Amino acid sequence: MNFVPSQSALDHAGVGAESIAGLFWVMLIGGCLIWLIVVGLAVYAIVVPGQHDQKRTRMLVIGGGAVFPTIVLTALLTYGLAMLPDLQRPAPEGSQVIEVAGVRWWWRIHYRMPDGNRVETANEIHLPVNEPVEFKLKSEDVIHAFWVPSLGGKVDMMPGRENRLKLHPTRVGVYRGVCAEYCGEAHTQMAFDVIVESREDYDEWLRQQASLAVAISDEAEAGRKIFAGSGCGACHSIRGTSADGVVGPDLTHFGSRRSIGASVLPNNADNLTRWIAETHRVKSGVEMPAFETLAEDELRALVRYLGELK
Amino acid sequence: MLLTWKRALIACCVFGMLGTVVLVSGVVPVKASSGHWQITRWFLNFASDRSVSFHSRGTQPPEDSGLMDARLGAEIYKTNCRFCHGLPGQEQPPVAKGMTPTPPRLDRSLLEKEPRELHYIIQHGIKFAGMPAWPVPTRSDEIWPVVAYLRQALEENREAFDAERSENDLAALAKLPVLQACVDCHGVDGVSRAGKQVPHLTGQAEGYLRLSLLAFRSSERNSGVMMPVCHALTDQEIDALSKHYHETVSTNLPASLEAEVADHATIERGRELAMNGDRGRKIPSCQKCHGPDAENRRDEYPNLAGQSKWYLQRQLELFQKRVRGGAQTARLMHPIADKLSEQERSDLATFYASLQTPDERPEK
Ligand code: HEC
Ligand code: HEC
Ligand code: HEC
Ligand code: HEC
Ligand SMILES: [Cu+2]
Repeated sequence: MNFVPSQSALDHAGVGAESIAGLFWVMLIGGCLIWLIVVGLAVYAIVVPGQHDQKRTRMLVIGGGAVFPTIVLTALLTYGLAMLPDLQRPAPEGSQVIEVAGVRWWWRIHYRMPDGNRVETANEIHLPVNEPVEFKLKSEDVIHAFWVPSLGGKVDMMPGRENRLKLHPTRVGVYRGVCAEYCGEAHTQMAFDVIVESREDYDEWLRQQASLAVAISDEAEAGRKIFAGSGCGACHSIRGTSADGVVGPDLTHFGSRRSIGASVLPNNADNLTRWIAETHRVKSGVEMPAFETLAEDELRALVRYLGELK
Repeated sequence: MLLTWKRALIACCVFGMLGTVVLVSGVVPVKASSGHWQITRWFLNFASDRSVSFHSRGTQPPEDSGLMDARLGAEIYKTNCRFCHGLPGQEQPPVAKGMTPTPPRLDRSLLEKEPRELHYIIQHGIKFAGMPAWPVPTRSDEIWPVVAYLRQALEENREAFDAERSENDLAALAKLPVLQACVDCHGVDGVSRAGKQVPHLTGQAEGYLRLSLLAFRSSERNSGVMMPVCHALTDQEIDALSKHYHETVSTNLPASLEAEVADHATIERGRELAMNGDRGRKIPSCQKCHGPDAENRRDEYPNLAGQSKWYLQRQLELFQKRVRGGAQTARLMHPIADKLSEQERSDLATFYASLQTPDERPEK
């Protein structure tokens, strides 16, 4: 599978994106037709010699210049507005609620569980196919914007305010979401993966995310010690261990994610090593300090440990 | 004879040529042994006094009189000044006496100078005279103890502070002679003997001590006090000293006075931030790297419990201004220090200074 997944409203896989794509096609085709007519008339005016009939000319100017646009634009507005209630309507009671907060330059994600608990994860959202899902969107610092082009519209994330959005995916697959509001140095590297899957796969995933960190092999235990001792836990949480930091992404099930650093690199051992040892060369401006002094074997152990956190 | 433009020009050329011949021939002596002429000396002294007086305007001694610790000043004087000036009020050492100008005997006439003037001289040195500038220009805060010491020594006609050596001290020194270079400031047990500007080293992580001493030696960590001390240390000595201070765990850390005086609320604010960090402001918890009770803390990370409050607060300021330097790992501290307000620096330092019990010192 390609690392960079689909990120286009034309390759739609959700109800919102589908109607937005419909609107786009209507406007594109309509616009082309009108353009053809206008250019045709211009050519006609130049090519046909002699005086044109005054009365017909006047009618054409009033009809084509005022009446026709009014009708077309009103129709377009009505068509567009008619789409809104459906796009805006909150997902029905009982749908999954997902809170997403934009943080320079990554995404903090909480799944609200039926029992009232909230399960924290980061940078990767899973959705059940053919079910509407309600998003609560916030920011922890500056203005960001949440946009998964293949699934729906784009909504700003404002500090001190909660915006909402409904997504209703209709096709299984992996899609890419992005921050669509310039938010500083690493803005272009602030993306996330959306994985739309069957209800069963989704339930399984959520159950696993809600659990504490999995048991790790003896080889990875050295890595866990290095993680604790190097102070990674000052910023990151791994539920079930002493790491309970809140400044950076939750890593409890980091090994199950597709990517590293808000969808900057595919999640594999080499990239993870680079991320930890030369963080700023991978993503400049990021709020995680590079741990340049870790020895090679320490890095290897650390990477092994994080990889096992499925 | 009439003075015309033409003749003046010819005269200038002749003098210029003569000057060049004298210069190139090398007959002018640069030897220091002959000293300056009386008039040259008077002129230089006058010019430098005027310059110091003019340029030191605006420098103010610190409000906190605890930073004018004469005890520490005396120790700094011993390492940084004595080999040129001798002890205050006494003869200069023979080698320095051969300099031109000779490093002056620092006698009571120096009391006529304002503290700010002394600070200026020690910070910047004196050009063409062999009086060196402070080793790190950005650490001029370290100079005030020296000023305090000079004034006190001259006022009280006192040469130096007697180094009190207990039997314990002597035994340790016999085992590790290089400790001689440290005891008067850090004590044998790593508890500061020279006030709150000197950090406690007792039980400190061995790796951190080693990296810090190496960083002082290579001038990667800035201190006009510690850089000269470490300059001559060998790798083996650094290892031995780190091991010594790591293993010597003193249980009688003096309760940091400021922390004792601090109210409960300050300590609690510091504790909250140190233990839990602040998500909204992106401040990580200090505890994971510095303790208390950090799981498996890296040996290169310093323990802060029981450290002098003033020292901790100052280090955080120095990190923020990027003048502290340190081992390579010190870069971890820069973004963290950038986010702390003055109030938070004080709260955090008070909290760590208030951790006194031995079990809050690093685990072994
Ligand atoms: C000062 C806080 C801080 C410390 C200490 C810290 N990190 Fe991070 N870390 C972050 C932040 C913030 C991010 C998100 C960066 C981004 O993508 O913009 C991050 C991201 C990561 C990620 C990628 C997470 C994801 O979902 O893609 C990994 C893996 C990671 N850190 C591992 C570590 C390890 C291992 C250590 C210790 C050696 C460590 N971190 C120490 C703040 C920190
Ligand atoms: C390399 C030798 C050297 C060292 C080391 C040195 N000095 Fe000096 N110092 C001199 C010389 C030479 C002068 C005389 C300058 C002049 O005549 O203008 C001087 C002048 C001074 C003066 C001015 C005295 C006066 O009467 O104007 C003070 C004060 C002083 N030194 C203090 C110190 C202190 C404090 C230290 C240690 C931090 C120190 N010096 C280290 C060589 C040295
Ligand atoms: C003249 C007094 C003095 C002497 C002598 C001295 N120190 Fe220091 N030491 C200091 C001061 C002051 C500091 C704080 C420097 C700063 O502000 O950055 C310090 C800092 C240190 C530090 C860093 C501690 C920390 O927590 O970061 C170490 C390690 C250290 N000294 C070891 C030694 C050793 C070993 C010796 C003997 C070889 C020695 N010192 C001699 C005054 C002294
Ligand atoms: C990711 C690990 C990490 C975190 C989190 C961290 N520090 Fe540090 N800190 C270090 C390292 C490493 C050093 C040593 C730098 C050196 O080698 O010079 C240090 C040094 C210090 C020093 C200087 C100590 C001395 O003896 O000179 C102070 C003070 C300090 N940190 C305070 C804090 C405070 C307060 C916080 C929380 C707001 C904090 N640190 C969070 C890693 C960390
Ligand atoms: Cu952005």
